[in-house]
Amino acid sequence: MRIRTAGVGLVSLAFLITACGSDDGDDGSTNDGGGQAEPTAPATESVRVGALYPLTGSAAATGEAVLHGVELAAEVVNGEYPDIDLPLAAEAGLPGLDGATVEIVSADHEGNPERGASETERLITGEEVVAIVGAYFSAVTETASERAERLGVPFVNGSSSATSLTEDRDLQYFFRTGPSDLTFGETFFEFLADVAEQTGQPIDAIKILYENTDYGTGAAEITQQLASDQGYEVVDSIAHGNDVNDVTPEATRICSSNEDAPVFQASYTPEAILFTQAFKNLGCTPTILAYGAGYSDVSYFDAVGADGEYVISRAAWGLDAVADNPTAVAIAEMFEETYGIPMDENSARTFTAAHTLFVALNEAGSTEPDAIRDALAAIDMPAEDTIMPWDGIRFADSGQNELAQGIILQHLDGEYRVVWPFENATADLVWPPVPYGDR
Amino acid sequence: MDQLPQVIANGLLLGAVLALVAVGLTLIFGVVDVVNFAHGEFVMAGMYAAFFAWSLFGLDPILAIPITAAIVAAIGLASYASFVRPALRGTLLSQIFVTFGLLIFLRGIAQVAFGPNFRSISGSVLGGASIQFLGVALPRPQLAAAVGSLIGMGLISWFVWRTRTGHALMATAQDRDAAALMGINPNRMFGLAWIIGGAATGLAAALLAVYQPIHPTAGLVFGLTAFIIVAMGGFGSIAGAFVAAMLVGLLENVAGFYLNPAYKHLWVFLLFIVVLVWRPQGLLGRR
Amino acid sequence: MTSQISTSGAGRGDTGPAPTARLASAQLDTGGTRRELLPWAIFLASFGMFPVLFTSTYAHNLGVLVCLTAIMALGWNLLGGFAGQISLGHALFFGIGAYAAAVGGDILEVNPWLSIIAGMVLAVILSSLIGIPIFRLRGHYFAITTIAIAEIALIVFLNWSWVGGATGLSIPLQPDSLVNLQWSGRQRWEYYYLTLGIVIAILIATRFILRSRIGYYLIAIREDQAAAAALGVPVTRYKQFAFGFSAAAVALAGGLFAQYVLFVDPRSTFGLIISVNIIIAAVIGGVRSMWGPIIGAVVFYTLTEFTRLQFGGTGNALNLVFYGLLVMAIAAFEPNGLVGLGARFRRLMLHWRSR
Repeated sequence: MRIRTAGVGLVSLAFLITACGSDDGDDGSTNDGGGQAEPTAPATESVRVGALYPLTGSAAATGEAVLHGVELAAEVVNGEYPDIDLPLAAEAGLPGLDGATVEIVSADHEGNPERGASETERLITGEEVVAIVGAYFSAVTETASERAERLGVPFVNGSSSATSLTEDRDLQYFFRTGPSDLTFGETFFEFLADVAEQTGQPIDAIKILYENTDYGTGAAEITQQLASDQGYEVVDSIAHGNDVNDVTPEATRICSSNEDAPVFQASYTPEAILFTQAFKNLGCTPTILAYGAGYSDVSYFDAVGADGEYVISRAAWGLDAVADNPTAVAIAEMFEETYGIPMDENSARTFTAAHTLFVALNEAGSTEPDAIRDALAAIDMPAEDTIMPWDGIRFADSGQNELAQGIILQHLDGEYRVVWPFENATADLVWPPVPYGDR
Repeated sequence: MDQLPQVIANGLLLGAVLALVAVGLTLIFGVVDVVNFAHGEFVMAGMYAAFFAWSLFGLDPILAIPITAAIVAAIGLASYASFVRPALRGTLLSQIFVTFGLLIFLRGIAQVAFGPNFRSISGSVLGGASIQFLGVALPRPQLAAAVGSLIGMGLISWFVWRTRTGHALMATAQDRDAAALMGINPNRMFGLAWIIGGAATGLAAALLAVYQPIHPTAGLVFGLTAFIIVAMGGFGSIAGAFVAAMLVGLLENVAGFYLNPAYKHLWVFLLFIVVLVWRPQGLLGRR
Repeated sequence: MTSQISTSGAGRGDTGPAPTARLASAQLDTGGTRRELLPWAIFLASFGMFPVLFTSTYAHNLGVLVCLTAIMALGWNLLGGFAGQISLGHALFFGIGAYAAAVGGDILEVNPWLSIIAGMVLAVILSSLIGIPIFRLRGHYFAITTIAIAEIALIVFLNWSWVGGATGLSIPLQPDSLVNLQWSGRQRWEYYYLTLGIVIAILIATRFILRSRIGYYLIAIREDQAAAAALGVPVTRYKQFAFGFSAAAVALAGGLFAQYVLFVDPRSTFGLIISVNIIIAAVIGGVRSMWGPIIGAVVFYTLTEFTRLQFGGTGNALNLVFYGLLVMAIAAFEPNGLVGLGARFRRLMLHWRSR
């Protein structure tokens, strides 16, 4: 019947339009299996780098902020900033590529692993990027980097901490500049041991509270493992969902026994807010040892105000921790001036991931992904060439930066201060936290 | 076992709040015979309204209730008049679908207009502390929401059973054609149902905004819970929605506390299925 | 109130001809061979040539996803469009199919074809078991119950460590072959033509069913279940048939999807969004027609990608606004989807020509 004819015709037309719309840049050659990426963009003008983050959905605010980290790195490299003592800041563009500038092509994975994989493909084959930075959510980083691996394009990650990304995989094109949750977990337990020593009060029990995706369950597993290795009793281990409207039963459980057992928590922002409120309502003030994420987010502190004081978080970065590094301070100020929000641990990590990639690009002197990959593998940046409180950047065979470290921060007087290692502390640890009712 | 009173109190409070969120949905279904799948987004819109009333004009959410109720009522009426009403002439599928489209549309508008950041209201007279009662902590915001919920449901029930317009509304719900024969304009009744349902939802949203983080995707979880409650209680029954909401609140808290909290919603879904299989029209449903 | 009887499908307030007459006229148009062949020809030509004309990985990827969505929408539509039972929980079967493939590939290490077939069998068994209690529910109650069931599955899989819990499972890379159901090329020829072949198979199966007595019964059930029962149609048995068929089709798509993406996790397989997308595709295309779901799958993807490319990507969600408007417009003004629009257009042309 003609109805269907017209319909099927419309269909084909629709198909045509979209396929056309994203077909630019493709030379139409019929490559078969396993080909390398052959970018068609001339290397002298600009180099395209993909940035894959959650720009819609419940993590969109964080996604925007970490994208700004990447954009700032590009701005620093592209412009002339002789006062900033970072590699590639002083001259315009990438000298190793005849002054080519970096162009950031952003993409939104909406928090969905499959979309992350699709967008990775689109960035590589449609947008002709030579490398990708992303993706914040560990679950999305997992699939997106697998896809990039299959297409032979480097994927540099700064902001996802799930250990499985480097420990359980054998990828050649994946590099993580930031610490993994394994590093962070070890940091936490060293910290706990130090605290027990300093206060003279033994700590022998902990609780774990975690969100139920890759990030949270990974952090919980590591915590469980390290705890049993070091002789701590895990009194309770509770998983919670994301985008829920009530956490009262979980909070009630945490508050129902072993009041002084510290709570290792891995939650994103909205649940962090709900938990703080719930604890306060129940009249208990557990010691929160946070694996970053929600507790690193400025929105959390805006929402809970004074109730956010004394939260302890592992971090890869804190403004406080780098206060004696004028370059880092300058970058943080530039970030806040340009984007109107303070730099936090997440955006600092993505800045570093992007910057490291640009340094490798420069070293490679070529836009060929394999050359970039090799340059990344060979990178050895000293600490002063970064804005992070680490020992530097150097990748192990697994792609993990073995010089990344965690520090422990505590939120005091409205900002995060370094409280451990005690030798580098800029403020005194408050342990246990002051009860909500007394603030 | 010593936490049981607290757990039950938590459950009752949650139940009362969920009841208020659900009552607007059940009213619309009862009269218009349409499940508003965008219900959660109506709640989200009301929460944003409360937020802006607070941030721009310094209004405490309690005072903002008339504003939020009016805004969500307006959104409800606009949705009805524009797309829902024509969809009513179609199949069940189109009716389900039109409100799904509304869900996507509202969520998109919220993100475009307000951005993805979390907003929160602080310093409400309702906020912050708990009231200690018989050894149980009753958080003030949830307590206020529960009280507001009971008042809201009371008002709606009064309107529906005690006023002429309310009777006309119920008549349309029970038998649209017969009501039309009696001179009641079904189109006006439908519009009215959307307005009242929207207003009830706006009330709920203002009370929720006191303690919930507000963001464009906040609607999803409220919506899903509301559908479960309304279906379990019986579409169109306000009392049914209340009973179901209480059951859901209690079950979530009891199962969440005494069993693995990761499964707390699973028990609610199971209860829902069991209830419907036993009574396909819902606990207090009509058909 | 007479219109209450047919809450599961017919328009509200429908006071048309007596039930039996309605049922009789609802039979499908079995028009002439040439009229029927034309859509097939256009479909095969356009879908067949698509990857040859557009060779970018992006276009191929889109093609595979469109075919997978078409499989699901076609399967769903037998239950939803033709039998009138609106299920909002078909993600359940998609997840089962996807996890069957993943468990088979990653944990049990058996051939993916076996895993996919096992997944389909599981899906059918599950659908029969589920159908027993829930088919007595009507309309909105049925729809919401299906959501609840899919959500239960989501929670179970999120917390089940044997299948990877929240982290999910990755299917190990195998050498390219049809037996292994994996190909690693930059382009997606093999995946595309395989899924296209399955779309064709399902189309043929659907046509066969619709032309048979089963199809007649399903439509009768949709139009007026009580009347159909009164006429002696074994209602539950045929609802179960449609349910099983749709479950198998969606599970098949799930298994293929797993072999394509090589990763499964609970949210991307059991999530509500998947159920919704299947239905949007079917509705946009037109649920009363066999071709509707295919047209819908294409338009759905085309539209989401187009709006994403034009308006989205920077995170301003403008694409969602347009997309939501479109869904509302179709639901409100042309419930028979694009196929319905095509019919109207044709009537208009005829009318215009006859002036």
